[in-house]
Amino acid sequence: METAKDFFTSSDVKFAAIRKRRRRTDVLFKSLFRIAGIVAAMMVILIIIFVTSRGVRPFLGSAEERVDLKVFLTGSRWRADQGIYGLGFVIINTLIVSVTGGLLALPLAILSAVLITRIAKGKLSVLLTTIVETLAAIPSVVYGVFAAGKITVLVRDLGNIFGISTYGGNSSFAVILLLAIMTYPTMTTLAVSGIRAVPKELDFASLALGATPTQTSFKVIVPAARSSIATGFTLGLGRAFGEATAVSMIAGNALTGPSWNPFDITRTLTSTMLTGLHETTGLDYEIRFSVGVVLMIVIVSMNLLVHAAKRRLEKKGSAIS
Amino acid sequence: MKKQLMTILTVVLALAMIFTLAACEKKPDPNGSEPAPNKTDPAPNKTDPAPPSGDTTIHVYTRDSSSGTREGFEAVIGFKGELTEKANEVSSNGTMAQQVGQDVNGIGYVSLVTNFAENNLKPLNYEGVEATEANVINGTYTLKRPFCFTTRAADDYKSEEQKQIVAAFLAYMADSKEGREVVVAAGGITDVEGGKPWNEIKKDHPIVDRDNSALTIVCGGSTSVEKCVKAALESFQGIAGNVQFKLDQTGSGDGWTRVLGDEKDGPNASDIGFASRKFKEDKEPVGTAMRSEAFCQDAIVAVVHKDNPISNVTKDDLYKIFTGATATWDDVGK
Amino acid sequence: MTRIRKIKDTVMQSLTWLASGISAWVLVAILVFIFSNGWKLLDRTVLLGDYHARNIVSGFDDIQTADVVFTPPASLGDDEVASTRYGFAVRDEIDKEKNHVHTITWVDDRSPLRNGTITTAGPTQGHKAPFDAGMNINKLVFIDASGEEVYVGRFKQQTPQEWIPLLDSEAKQIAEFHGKVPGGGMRGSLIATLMLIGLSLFFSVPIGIFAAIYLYAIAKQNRLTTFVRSSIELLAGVPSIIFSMMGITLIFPIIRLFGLSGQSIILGSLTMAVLLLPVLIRQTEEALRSVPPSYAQASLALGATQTETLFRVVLPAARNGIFSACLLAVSRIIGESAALIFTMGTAIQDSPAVTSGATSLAVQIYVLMGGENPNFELASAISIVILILVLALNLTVKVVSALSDKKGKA
Repeated sequence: METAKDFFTSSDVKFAAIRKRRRRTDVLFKSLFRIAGIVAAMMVILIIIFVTSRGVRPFLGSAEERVDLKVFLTGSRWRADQGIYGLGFVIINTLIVSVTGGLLALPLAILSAVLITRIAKGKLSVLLTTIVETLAAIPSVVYGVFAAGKITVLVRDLGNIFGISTYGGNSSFAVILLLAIMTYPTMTTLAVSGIRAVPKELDFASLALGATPTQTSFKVIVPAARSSIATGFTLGLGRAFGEATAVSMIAGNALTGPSWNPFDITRTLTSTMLTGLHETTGLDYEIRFSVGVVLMIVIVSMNLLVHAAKRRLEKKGSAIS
Repeated sequence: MKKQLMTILTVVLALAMIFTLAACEKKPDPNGSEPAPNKTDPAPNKTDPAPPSGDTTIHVYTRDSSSGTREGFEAVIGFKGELTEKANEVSSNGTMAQQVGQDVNGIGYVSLVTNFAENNLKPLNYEGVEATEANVINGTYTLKRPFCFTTRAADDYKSEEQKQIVAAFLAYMADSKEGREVVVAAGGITDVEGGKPWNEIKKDHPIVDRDNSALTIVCGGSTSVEKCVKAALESFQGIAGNVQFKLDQTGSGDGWTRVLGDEKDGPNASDIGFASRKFKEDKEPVGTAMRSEAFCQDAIVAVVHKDNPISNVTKDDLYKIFTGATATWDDVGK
Repeated sequence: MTRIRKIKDTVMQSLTWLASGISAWVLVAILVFIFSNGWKLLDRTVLLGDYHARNIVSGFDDIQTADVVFTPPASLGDDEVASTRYGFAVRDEIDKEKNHVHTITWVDDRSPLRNGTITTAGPTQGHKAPFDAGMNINKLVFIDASGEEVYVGRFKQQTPQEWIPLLDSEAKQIAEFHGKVPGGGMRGSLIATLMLIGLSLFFSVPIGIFAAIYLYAIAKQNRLTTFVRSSIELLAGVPSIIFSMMGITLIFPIIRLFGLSGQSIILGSLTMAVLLLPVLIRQTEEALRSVPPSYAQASLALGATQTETLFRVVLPAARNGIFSACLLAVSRIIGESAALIFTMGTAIQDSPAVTSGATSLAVQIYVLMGGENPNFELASAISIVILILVLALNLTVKVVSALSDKKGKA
């Protein structure tokens, strides 16, 4: 890419007069590009600053309206009617459903990626890729309609088989299934590109040593692509944490928790932000921004965690090879 | 060879899955195969599962805390702040109706305007009295609340026309025989015969004889009133120069705020604010409003899934159920 | 190869098939569910009709109620009630919004009710009023033998079985007809979605492309660039509901300076514009990088300035990639709901304006699912439209990239 870099740094003394005017446009555009880049980069900081500044308000207000930060972060009851805003259990619930959903999708994603890249040939591989891409393209609100009409019914019937009565199928389990479906395409896409990027030599070496193709796929290629797989997992988790409309249609909004029964109703950070979304003033409204701040913190810390894990994996990997 | 065999096997398996799915889709889902609109006897929304044997744990559904329905219900039953921790909070009456209709052990409360059959619901008698308009008017059905409106202050409208058209609409909906008729047809409860003919009222509101298609009446507040107000607005359009309207119903808590409170100049400013309860005198002073009153009444109805054998509840039953003192359907009434 | 090895391999292979089978099954389940619920409803009136009903109030000057007797067609069902004196039939049914309505199922061409004129003040006043099959009758006003006005119809809580015989026997002259052309359509949301797409791209594409050019051509390997890159990466990971909050806290105060108040399509599109930046920047930069460096070198060597080279050579060469980026952005806008719920509001509009709130198709689905009467059928019908649009866009992207690949190879 060295030429690209030379665009605006090459100089020429000929035709100085014309050049000067032209260079002025160069300089103008150059600064425009730079401004655009910096504006784009600033957005995320502005988001953090503005949402946070709004989100801390409930903790700073006058005594009677103030929410106790400790209760907010560790509480196990969300009772807007009693003025109790304990988000602790909601955070745990969100982690449970998102991570379980992600873990459910991960093996499926890896297996599908292996099939797409290493077993299926030609048209079949294209078909499978198309399926994954189509799943990725379906908007979340459509997933929501499907979840509210089909997944909940499935979960309810399943509960009935075990003699567990559910809230019409609205439950952690339904959310987990939904999130598994929604994170699967992201993970698969990343796993596919990771596997494709593995050098052919590894493949040949493994085969030459007498391993079967399947053995090679699972013992050599997949481990070699683990960095991409981990990235896919992170991206998928990010989607799971932040998914709002679809989840809020089937979460049911529990007032207390955490509940460890998968057939029980749950409450996630995003479903909390969307319930009573209609309120537009007062504490019930302001607290939503606080929940948003918590959501951002959860996502960022999850990212850091997976990053750290990835780095350790990579170290181990390089030690082996 | 082996690989080929497996490929074929898997394809067959996948096809089988798809077909079973398609078959499932046709059989138990009346929703899918026959759209409801053309039927007088509406198809239930969901397949009805047999109640799980033995488990009759009551599932309590409640509205979110900005709801006027919830406030009205809690006020009559008298359990404000004592709601059971096991309740499932939903954010609209519609979601409430839909979810209770899917849950054989569910109980919730909705407005009388809700279409019970369509949502698989059974309305419960309260203290032995059926929830009907007649019973609300004659005072025997006591689980009820008023639908109220309030407006911006008389000098706080965008324009003089805006003020006049809002006044004309309120006169139509609250005072005229025709307007009340529409409210009643949409499920509100009010005395139609006590209204004045619109032709008389109209004389005080000459604005309705102009082309008003450039004006928009913006309504906010309670979601429960939506059906009545929408019906009234729709029928008003035809007699008021095609005035436009926007319903942004969000919850009774916003009714006052958006016309007189701190949101009156904000993103959700409205012309008329509705509440499905009385405005709270201490927190929501409506003294400065152009007009503010109750325009009809609504019954709140406790609802259960249609397969639930229960048909009557008392105030005490509801109190025990919603505070969690009664936990299973077997214990109701004991 | 040992036997055990073979069995193990077969098991692993079948697992991969199973995994993909599950994903295929889920996709089919979603499509079957959405289509089976929504397809029947999806017709012209739903696609292009108003969401809110249009109300008709018509008056009649002199109506011949004399001695014509209309014969209703034999095909009328048991639940349809026909008026033999006025030549129409109605049925009590449940409409798309699950309300009871009296729908006209048959009108004779000579029916006197076809001669009404619209009485509503406005440009259409005095025009011929519609009275057609498919409309709902709310109320009829007639004058009886004693000269009294009598109201009949659904607004009087009467069933068709009650009021039609009354009309046929008592009416001497029809005075007024109150009816409506039913709503339940998605045209307003469709228009709002188009406006949203246009505005969002208008705000987002220039910044996105310029920022991509910055990263591609200007940014040096330094701290600032690393910061810009990682910020944009981070922006991509922000959930859309947070963008919604940004719209309220950050953008709303800014547009208020320009005199815009309230939730509006502008606010929604500015919010979307920020949300789209990462997608646009990433895709555009990729497209720029795929342009062979020799193009730029040649242009510069021929004496073109850097700006000229960029705008006349490099960007045109990357146009397919940039076009794909825009299409992906459009598909993201169509599917987005959480970012718009707070910024554009949840009030469905039939004639949306950029300065006031409206719903996009996706938000209309959300509203329908959570509204007073949850409406699976209509939500599914809109889902079909969204699915078709989104999948078509994705397909176009694929075709475009396949085409440019071919061209690149050639």
